[in-house]
Amino acid sequence: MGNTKVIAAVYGPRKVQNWGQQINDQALVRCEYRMANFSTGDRVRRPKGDRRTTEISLVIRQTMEACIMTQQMPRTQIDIYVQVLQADGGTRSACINAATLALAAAGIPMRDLVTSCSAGYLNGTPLLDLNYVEDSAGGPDVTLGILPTLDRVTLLQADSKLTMDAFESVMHLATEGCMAVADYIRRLLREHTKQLELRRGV
Amino acid sequence: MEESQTSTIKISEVSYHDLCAFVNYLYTAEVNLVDDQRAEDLLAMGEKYQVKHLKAYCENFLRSKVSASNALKYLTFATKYKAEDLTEASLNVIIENMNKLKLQDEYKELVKKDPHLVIRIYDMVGLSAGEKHFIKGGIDQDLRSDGRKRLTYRPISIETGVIPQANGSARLRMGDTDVIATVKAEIGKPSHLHPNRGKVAIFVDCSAIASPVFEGRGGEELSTELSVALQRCLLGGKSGAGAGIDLLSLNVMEGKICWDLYIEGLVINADGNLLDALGAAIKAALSNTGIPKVNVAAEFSAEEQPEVDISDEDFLRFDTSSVPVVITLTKVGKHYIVDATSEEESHMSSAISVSINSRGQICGLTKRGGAGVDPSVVLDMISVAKHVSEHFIMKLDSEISAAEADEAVS
Repeated sequence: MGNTKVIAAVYGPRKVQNWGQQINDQALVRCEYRMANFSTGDRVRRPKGDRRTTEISLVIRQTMEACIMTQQMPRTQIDIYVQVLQADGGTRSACINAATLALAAAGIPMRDLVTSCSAGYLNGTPLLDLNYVEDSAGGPDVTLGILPTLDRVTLLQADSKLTMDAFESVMHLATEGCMAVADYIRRLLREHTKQLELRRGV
Repeated sequence: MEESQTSTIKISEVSYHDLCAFVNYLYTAEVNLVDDQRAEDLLAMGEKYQVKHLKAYCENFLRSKVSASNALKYLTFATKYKAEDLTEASLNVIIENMNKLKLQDEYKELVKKDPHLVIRIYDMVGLSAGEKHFIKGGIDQDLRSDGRKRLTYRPISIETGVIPQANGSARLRMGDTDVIATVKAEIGKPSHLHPNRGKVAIFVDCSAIASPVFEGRGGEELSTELSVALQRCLLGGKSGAGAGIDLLSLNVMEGKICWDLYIEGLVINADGNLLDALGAAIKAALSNTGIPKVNVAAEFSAEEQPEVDISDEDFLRFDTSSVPVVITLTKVGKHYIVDATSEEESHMSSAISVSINSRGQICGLTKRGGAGVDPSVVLDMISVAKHVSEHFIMKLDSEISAAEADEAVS
């Protein structure tokens, strides 16, 4: 997404590594989010497992858990690893979109493709997908994740205050953004599948 | 029930002394493990009666007793009583001594009695004996499993300028190994020992994307090993003399301002030979690096830090012709190979990484892996590495210039 670049990798469904965590009637979904040291404008050496990292890992995990059909794969584990190469605002959304694509490419059964997009509100106008500079301007930032065909919201985070009216318009804009991303992702996946088909000579 | 009438329970499967020790532990939380046998019996009882502390205590005691001669016995024992730590300890010993153990009768018996355990052993080894033999045989005949000769590299592809936020960056793919290197320059203060030199630091990070093993703190050991090896190979001695990067060129104003270079490597996919790949990627990233020209304000007092003005248009390019490349020779059996895949690395006995610059000078050397190497072989390996490096540097340079040209076009 613009200057924000992330890579996602999915391992699984595979045997649960830690016996204590095994869930007998559904799959265990785990997620690790990591930022490369060079990803931000100013170089910071971030220790692994700081609070922001843990929080985003949790957010991604919960969002993905909502769409994976975990009941179909009891006693297994699915690992999602997300690595941020470049951060320029909207890393959360980018990570979720990347994770969706990776899960779909891994052939893991899902209810729907979760897509995410952020939106903000600056100088009386709602803005879609804030970059780092816009984000640091101090305006509100709403991250939204939806299941586009089921029309459900799976993730909603907002900081800073907003009037109800403004929130509605921002939310509306973010939903539109998610839908646009969904269309794009669907198209990408179709192309990917076509290529796989070609390669197999079906 | 018989027990309710006689008010006694017969415990037949343990000896009197073991039971005494067990009851004693329950009351006093103290236990004296006189010998291995006592520890084994108490561990079994700990599992049976779910006394977790006692079990853990015995397990810890037994873990230190595992050796090549009793590892198979302990593996069977530990799996029976679900002692995970002990299982792991004995598996580790077994894998180290696999060749010897295979010849023992005990092992053959285990194959018959408990094939599941043997499968578990092989899961740990990763490759079956047949596969190992195949790879080794191939190397002996100078034809490796992917069709390469002993001293040929996998095809390399380089992309530069992949991270616009950094001063220089490059992504290098060598077979399935995939790494990104970036260079960031920051204004800093030179150390008072070397007032006319800049500073360079190298960090490597192994992403969990490459392998689930690197999750959390899992990749830390490998990351540190790689960063230290690269620092040794590229940065030269403590004084900064003999470094591949000319530290004098990073000086802006003596004793006041210099450039701090932060070189960062990220492993995206690991299929062996990470050190060479990272070394080459760093070389490519450095040649992609542009350091902004700096104008220092003319007037300032002696104590103050002078003001600087960083220009946005003019860049200084690095001279990377003297930056060395790292060549790793992996010793498998009698022979050594370059650019080992992770399959081949899994049964290397030792490896030597030599960093060599374009003039054929050796800039750094690291030996990795456990087994010892004959000193004469080391000299031989270094001369082979030197020979290989000539081709490698040429190939790398042409790839780098091709990548730069590509970037300029786009």
